[in-house]
Amino acid sequence: MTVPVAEPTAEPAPGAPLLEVTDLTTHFETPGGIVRAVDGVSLTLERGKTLGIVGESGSGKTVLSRSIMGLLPKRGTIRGGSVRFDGVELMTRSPKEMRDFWGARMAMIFQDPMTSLNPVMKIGKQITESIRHHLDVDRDYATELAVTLLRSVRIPEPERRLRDYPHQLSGGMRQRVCIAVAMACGPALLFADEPTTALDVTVQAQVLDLMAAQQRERFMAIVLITHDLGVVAGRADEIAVMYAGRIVEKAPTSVLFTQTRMPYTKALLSSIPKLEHPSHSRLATIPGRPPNLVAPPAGCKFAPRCAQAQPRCLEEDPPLVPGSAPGHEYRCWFPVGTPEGDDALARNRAAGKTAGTTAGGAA
Amino acid sequence: MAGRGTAHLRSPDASLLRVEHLVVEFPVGRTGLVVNAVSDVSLDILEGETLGIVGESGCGKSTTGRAVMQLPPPKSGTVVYDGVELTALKGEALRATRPRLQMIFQDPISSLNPRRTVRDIVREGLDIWGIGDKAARDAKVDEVLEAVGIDPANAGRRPHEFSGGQCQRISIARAVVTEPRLIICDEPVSALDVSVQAQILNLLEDMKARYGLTLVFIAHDLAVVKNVSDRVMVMYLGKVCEVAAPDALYASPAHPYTAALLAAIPVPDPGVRPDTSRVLGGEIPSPMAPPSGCRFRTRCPRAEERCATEEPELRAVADGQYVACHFPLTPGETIDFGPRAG
Repeated sequence: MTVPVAEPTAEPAPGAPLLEVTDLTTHFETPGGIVRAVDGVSLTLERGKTLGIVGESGSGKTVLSRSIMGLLPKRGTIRGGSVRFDGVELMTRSPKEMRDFWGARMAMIFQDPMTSLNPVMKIGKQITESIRHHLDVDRDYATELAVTLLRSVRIPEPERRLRDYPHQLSGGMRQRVCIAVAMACGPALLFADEPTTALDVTVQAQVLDLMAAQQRERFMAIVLITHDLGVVAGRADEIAVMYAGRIVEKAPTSVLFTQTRMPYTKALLSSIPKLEHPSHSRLATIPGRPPNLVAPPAGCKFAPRCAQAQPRCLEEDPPLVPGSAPGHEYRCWFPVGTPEGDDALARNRAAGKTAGTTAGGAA
Repeated sequence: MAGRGTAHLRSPDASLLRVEHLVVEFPVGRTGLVVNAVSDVSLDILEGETLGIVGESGCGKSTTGRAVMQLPPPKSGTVVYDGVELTALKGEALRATRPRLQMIFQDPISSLNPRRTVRDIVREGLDIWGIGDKAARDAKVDEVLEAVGIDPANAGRRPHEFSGGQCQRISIARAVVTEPRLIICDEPVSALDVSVQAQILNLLEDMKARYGLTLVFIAHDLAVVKNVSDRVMVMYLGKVCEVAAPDALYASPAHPYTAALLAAIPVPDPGVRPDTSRVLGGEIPSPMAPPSGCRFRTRCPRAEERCATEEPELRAVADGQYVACHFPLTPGETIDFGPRAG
């Protein structure tokens, strides 16, 4: 089906990527000091592509998406760097100016479908609200559009469901309503922040398939944020792994899995229980906890937990360096799968400790 | 699909816990309707075994776990734990079983009292039951905290000072401190990150070995359940679908619903594209008016006339593999759920 698309608010720059984030920083002022939640992130995303952002709780992945959209409160937030969307710089725009983008050009789906819908508003109204705001259509047409949207997210009896409140729907149905709300004005960019974490596996597969179908239909770019590498493996074109507010490895999906260079990515991958493994297999774990973002360690932020850490890792912060495959970047002095990395790991295994543990960093 | 029967039960003498024909219903306001949360479920667990219970939200897996604890007592059925019929117990007699039968919950932070110190939380069971003198209790608390990887020196802190993974460790310490034989773990790792999840799963295995525990492990993640279990029970809408050893269940699921659950697991391998045709469509029916016969038939591509009229009974399809389905899958057979229905 076709759905009208909001008029672009600025001239699109031909050839430019849809989203171009350069050296974005987002710091929060807290009584305990300045929290460096996002610390110099650069990324680009083309139209119609999916970027997966993966990391543990507290790695800054959610703050990154909110910061790109300009959804963070002004008070106590310090943002730096540049966010260009469709050739337009967003960093300097006020929330009032951003309203032309939110919902219309870029939309967001949140983790918890119950709290992201208004519990006292019928779902029909929640869908037509943004349609009526951004598109110049009358009420009947907006309602018709809402029915089409609900049908396209495969909600049975859409006409009847328009008059339901969120609590009358199951979790999977609510998340589909959230997708319908996000799709209402045909955005060019969709942020999905852990969209399936609160859902069952079968419903998760349904919702992810639905997002992929909507993406194909609308040539929409998606930023899929998750802590589960399994979710992004089959669905993202490119994956960025975040740790302590930074991208520590970024690569096209197949490269990330086959030519993993950053020990953190490797550790995340090996901590997932796999179906092929027999029962009671011992799982690989990452010792310790993510660093304090008020006073992050000098050198590599992952060094205190890293099995390959060497004295150099504690002193010098590794920059993002390109890998052998195009589009592959990582931060590591002793990358996995290289002679230096294997040597570092062998040395640490022989010594029974890493440079991080000797420094008393790891728990 | 969603059937009943006791064919999968083993000798009553060997089992630590034996549940037969468990039924749990909840009334819906004053409408006279009831939610059929658990309908005729039977299970048994041998000493030292881990039974995994999997299924989607609303399949009755948590209710089954709670009904074993008599929270609330089931409407009918028997729960025999360590030779004692729990459904016949009331008040003080039931309370006396608590130190031997413990539970761990999903949300580690909300399941710990925020106003009390970790030491008090873990010690409370010992204090209530008057186990040992004061010094012995302190020593025991230190020992279990050490065992779960919490430094006893930090036991004076309160739960909010710990991370989610550490709080789950504290919950485990609280559960094992009274030396129970059986612990019911209700989605203990669902709220945790993958890296922390791996730590907690390893810890549960360690605790099992150290304290000789028997576990009921309830989860919706099949990969997690496979990792910890000796036997897996798949539930759907208050009924048992399939019971088998994990390796057999995952290699050759006999129940169409088990196959659908397995197909829905995201594979951390970019070479494997998600296969839309093998994903289950539709929604779980209302437990207030469950379908007749097999409860899974409304979403099952294999359903025939018989599935609507006759409820399948659990029967053996292979050694140690039991399925409640009229038309089970043969090993190696896949099932196509077709284009997603609305």
